[in-house]
Amino acid sequence: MNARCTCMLLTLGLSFVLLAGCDRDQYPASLEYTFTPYPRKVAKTITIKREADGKVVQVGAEGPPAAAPDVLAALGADLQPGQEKGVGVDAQEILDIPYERQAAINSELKQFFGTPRDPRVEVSEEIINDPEMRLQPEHLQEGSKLYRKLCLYCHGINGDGAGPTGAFLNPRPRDFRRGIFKFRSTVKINPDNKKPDPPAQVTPSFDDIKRTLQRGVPTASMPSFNLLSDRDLDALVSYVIHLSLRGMAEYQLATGETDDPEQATISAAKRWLYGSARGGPNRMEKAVYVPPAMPGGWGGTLPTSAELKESPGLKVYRGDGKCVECHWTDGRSNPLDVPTNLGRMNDWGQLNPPRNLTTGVYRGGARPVDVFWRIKLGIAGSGMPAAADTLSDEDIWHLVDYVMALPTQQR
Amino acid sequence: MRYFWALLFLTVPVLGVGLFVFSYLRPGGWLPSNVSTIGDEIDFLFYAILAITGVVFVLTQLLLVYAMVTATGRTAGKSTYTHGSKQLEIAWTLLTAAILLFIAFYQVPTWAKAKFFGQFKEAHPDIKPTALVVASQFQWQTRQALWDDAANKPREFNWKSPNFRDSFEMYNELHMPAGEPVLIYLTTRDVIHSFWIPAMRVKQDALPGTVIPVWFDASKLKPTDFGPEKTKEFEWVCAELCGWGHYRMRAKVVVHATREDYNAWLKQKTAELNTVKKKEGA
Amino acid sequence: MADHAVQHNGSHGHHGDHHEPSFLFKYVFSLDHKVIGIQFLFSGLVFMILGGLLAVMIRIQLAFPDYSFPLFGQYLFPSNAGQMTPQFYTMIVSMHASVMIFFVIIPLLTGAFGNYLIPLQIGYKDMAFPVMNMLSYWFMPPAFVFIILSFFMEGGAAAAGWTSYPTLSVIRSAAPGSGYGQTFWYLALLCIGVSSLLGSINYMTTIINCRAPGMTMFRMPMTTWAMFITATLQAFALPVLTVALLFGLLDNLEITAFFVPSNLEANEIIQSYPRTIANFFQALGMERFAERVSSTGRPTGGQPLMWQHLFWFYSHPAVYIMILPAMGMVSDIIATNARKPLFGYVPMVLSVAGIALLGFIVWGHHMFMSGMSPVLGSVFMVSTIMIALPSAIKVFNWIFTMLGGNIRFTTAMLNAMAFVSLFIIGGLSGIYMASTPTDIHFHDTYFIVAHIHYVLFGGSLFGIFAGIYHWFPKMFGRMMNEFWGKVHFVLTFLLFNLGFYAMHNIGIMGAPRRYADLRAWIETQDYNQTMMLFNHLISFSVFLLVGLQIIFVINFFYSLFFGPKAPRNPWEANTLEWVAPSPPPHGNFEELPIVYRGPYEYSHPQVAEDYLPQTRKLDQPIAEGHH
Repeated sequence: MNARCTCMLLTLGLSFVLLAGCDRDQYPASLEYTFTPYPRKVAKTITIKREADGKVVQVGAEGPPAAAPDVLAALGADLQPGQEKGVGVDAQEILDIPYERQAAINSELKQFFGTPRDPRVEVSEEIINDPEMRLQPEHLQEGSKLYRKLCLYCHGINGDGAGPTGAFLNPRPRDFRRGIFKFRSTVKINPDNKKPDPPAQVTPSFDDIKRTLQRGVPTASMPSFNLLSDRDLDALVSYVIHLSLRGMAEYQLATGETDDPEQATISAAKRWLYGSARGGPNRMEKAVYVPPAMPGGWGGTLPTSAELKESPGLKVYRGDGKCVECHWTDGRSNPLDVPTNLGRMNDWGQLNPPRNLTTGVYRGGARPVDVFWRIKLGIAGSGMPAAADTLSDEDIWHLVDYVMALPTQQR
Repeated sequence: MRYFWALLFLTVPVLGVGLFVFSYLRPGGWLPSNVSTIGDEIDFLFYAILAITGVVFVLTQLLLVYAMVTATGRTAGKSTYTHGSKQLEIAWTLLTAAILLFIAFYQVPTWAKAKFFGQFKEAHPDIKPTALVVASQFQWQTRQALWDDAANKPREFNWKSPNFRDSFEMYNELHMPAGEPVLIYLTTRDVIHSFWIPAMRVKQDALPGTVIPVWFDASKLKPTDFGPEKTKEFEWVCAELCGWGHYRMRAKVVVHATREDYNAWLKQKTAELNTVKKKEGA
Repeated sequence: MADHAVQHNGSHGHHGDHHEPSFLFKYVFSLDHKVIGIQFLFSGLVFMILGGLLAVMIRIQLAFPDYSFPLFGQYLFPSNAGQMTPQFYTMIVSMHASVMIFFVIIPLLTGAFGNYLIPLQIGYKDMAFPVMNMLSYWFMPPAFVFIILSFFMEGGAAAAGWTSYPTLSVIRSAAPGSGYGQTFWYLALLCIGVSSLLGSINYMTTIINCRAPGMTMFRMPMTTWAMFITATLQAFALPVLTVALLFGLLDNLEITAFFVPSNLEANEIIQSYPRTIANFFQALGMERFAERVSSTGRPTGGQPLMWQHLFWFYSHPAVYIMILPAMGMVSDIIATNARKPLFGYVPMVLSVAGIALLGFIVWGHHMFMSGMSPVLGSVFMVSTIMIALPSAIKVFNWIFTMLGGNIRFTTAMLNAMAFVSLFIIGGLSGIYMASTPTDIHFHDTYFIVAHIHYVLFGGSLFGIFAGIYHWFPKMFGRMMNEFWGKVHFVLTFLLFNLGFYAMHNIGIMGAPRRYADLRAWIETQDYNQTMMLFNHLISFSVFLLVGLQIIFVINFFYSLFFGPKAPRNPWEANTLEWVAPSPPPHGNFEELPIVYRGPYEYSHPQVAEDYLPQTRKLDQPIAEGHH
């Protein structure tokens, strides 16, 4: 029975495969990366006015208003009827370019980045083989196969976060193309004195992306890929970096920052690996920030509410840290308390209000060091600023202590 | 012609038994091998039901085939005229009822052992929860106790309000010691998921708005079963449709060979929590 | 047969001379139960094609999870490199089941055969309430429109399983199909519920009140008994489904929170579509309503388990609704073709009633793992195991009906015997899930899928095929082709078993339901290889199975127009429908039938022929064997 079954299956399978094609477990050879529009955030100043009937409207809006009615209502909460004022709002704008220019960019970048089935990055061997990049073509091809199976339907063919499933997710899948990744451990360093220079944005490390893959993003739809082997995870990270580099190069060409695709490619790769386009192996402007050990160590018990009220963390939270401005005194970031939270957007123009700190969910990782990094280095692409020079590392550790105790406090 | 039909219907018991035998003999083709104590009882019940249903299956199918083979009337082209037999009806009703009732009541103690929390707590009054397992779309998040260096044992972890002092998070991974019952509390952030470890015969839906205790163990492992790191991994899957990522919610249960190995791992994990190695960023 | 033949039937006088109705009222908005039955038949068969296509797509994905979808991949999934997206998979799994259950099996069994056969078998001219009967059909087209439209909604059709458990189905952003796709799903099922309820009231009234003289309850054929008891099941269970669907619909529209608990973790999933219903009202210009909808999220404070209780309270009787009519038809077909009285007629009737009664107290067996109290689980376990008893009794009675019979192997008989054979498998596999400890392993695995398909395809669908082959001559006045009927049967029977039996095995291995890819991640190679071997076996069998149904389609339509004309009683059967002409005219019988005996007087030793119709008056009454 078994042999006959297998024979029958083989013949049928063969006929099916012939119908279907032999290598349909990879991207089709004819598929190419194409330009898709870039959503991004712009900050706008608009004038809002409360009408006689009580509604708050935007004055002089051509087309749809810049912000949703509830955002306008919150921003204009203090207006009297007939009164108006200027406010800053976040709005999304879509960067799109004429079709001919798109086609030109696609074909220009094809020689530097290849196709989904056959990805590569045409830069120096030194950059390709750097353990922070690992852009060898074989490695990228493995990554491409895995990406097509595991990531494509959310993150899209070119990493724009607009895959078929992505449209239905909130938060949207990450758009890799501008090299902006939220959860980093890396910091810009001053090349002369090697000191961290936090506020400037910098790309993540290889391990940051790998950690995000392993952890997933709790409460967003990004699953954890913890069960993939190390080798598979490395391949995926390299492929994501490849997509990101291509996006960075494409963005430069699309915005007109440069006309030369080769220059765009090299500058993207350098910005990724060295921290800036002028960087090099001897001029590193990007490094992983290793925090000092927490003063007093990490042991101990959860502070009680009384202890928390006296803690140095609270003082930083309400003082130099300026956390209250967005997260409010109770950490809930409720728009009723902070009206400006309502319309806050991330760099991609998607609604991204300041996080409610009382949920105990830390999307970038729940280890204390992860929360330290979020505070110290900020969250790229969102409104969470880097602590820069205002807070010392010790202060930040106190803040971490306080923030991570918030979820357990009685309401 | 009736032989053709009889033969056709004969394929049913032949295929039925044949596929089961094929599957049983083929590696990986049968029940995942059981490593838990309750699994022994469950597997026994499974085989008992398999035996009973197998026999009934073969007998009834063969009887059907027999009816086709002997399908000629007894008298002059007509069939046997009978409207039934009260004795036969009573006989097979009672026999079937007896078998079914036996199956029903025989298994109640096993079910109680698997699911009645009161009974479990009575048997293990001092057990502490090993983990809080939170299901979400589309991953499992486990919180397990940190190691308390001072007391030299795992912390008492408050599963109702876990925090960064008593526990840490992992994703799609659950660690447990072999040889003793493990209690977890199961909940979900958004939709119904289901916690299922096939090898340990434990399954429980995670219901939004509730926290449900689940217990299981991995007591039937031999020292040779464990890998080089004294661990063995088991598949853990989501068993309730939770959206498009339902098939993606596969995770692993890592069983440590002894309680000491498990403690050592906890200790190491706790120590790793804040170290940042320059290159790897641990 | 003249339409204007004098009707003596029934006590309410026929309204004399009625002019020939127009095409619209004769075939579209007909009040004639036969036309309505055939309307149900055709719509059911059309939706079976849709359900079958969805099944083929599911099997393509499962057998070839890495590959892009053949032929149509680039058109269906252009932005996913031609691969089926996981959300599409959950959608087609959910819709395959919803379509098959609510649009194929229930309408075919209760709507088509129930409508067609009940008046004919009890000797009446039509249903008790012809207008309500017409309405019961015409509530279906809105359901058809809703369910087809749901595929084209943003996000696609419902993707939360045919069981639509909240919170997946009621939080609009939890799945792409849980937006308007799910909303339309609720609306479609509400329409179907109304249709079924109207039908069931009609059937019960007709059977109780309108039987021909001499037709006592215990002289009714099993088909009618089964339809009667099924109608009671529908009447008592449907209101609960209606309530469940209404609650679900209101939750899905974010107006209420019957099923959404309040302490879900703060999660953007809940808050992401806060304005959906507000937008809806705004679009209609109903600003005042828009403002009243919460802007920070949706209402909460419910209990997800409630849906499961309400839904399964209907859906468990629903599965009996889907099997009992087939059981009844099969009983009649077996007795007729074995030329033997049905073995144990009264026990058979009592078993059907027993299944129906017990069917109302077993719904919790779908919820053993759900978080419901396990003590309650034990209670349901006992009642569920007991429901195997009447089913077993029926199986024994069918087999004993055949034993000693001079069996005529007509296509209908073959399908009926296949029903018995395959229902045995489906029923036995149920015991593994009824036992709560083994259900720990089998719940939500492919073992359940195997069980479902053995009872619904092996049982109900083969029963439907048997019914069509048996009653086609009566319905359309022509004979179906026996040879091609048998070819269809042999291929369907073999391929069905080849395809679905292995599902038991992968269920035992631990393959969960509704997974787009059944390969494990850390299991050994052996597991994955065996899993894929079985998946290929199942998939290829299903492809052939679905494809070869074309034989049935061709046979059906060819015979409809060109089949040889059918005599009144081609199968030499006893029951009343064979007394009427083929096809029966409006009003069914030329003269009022009078019933002298039960329906199963076959091969009576004192009668020359091997059958004795219920309406045939004998000079000397004969002794009927006692039941």
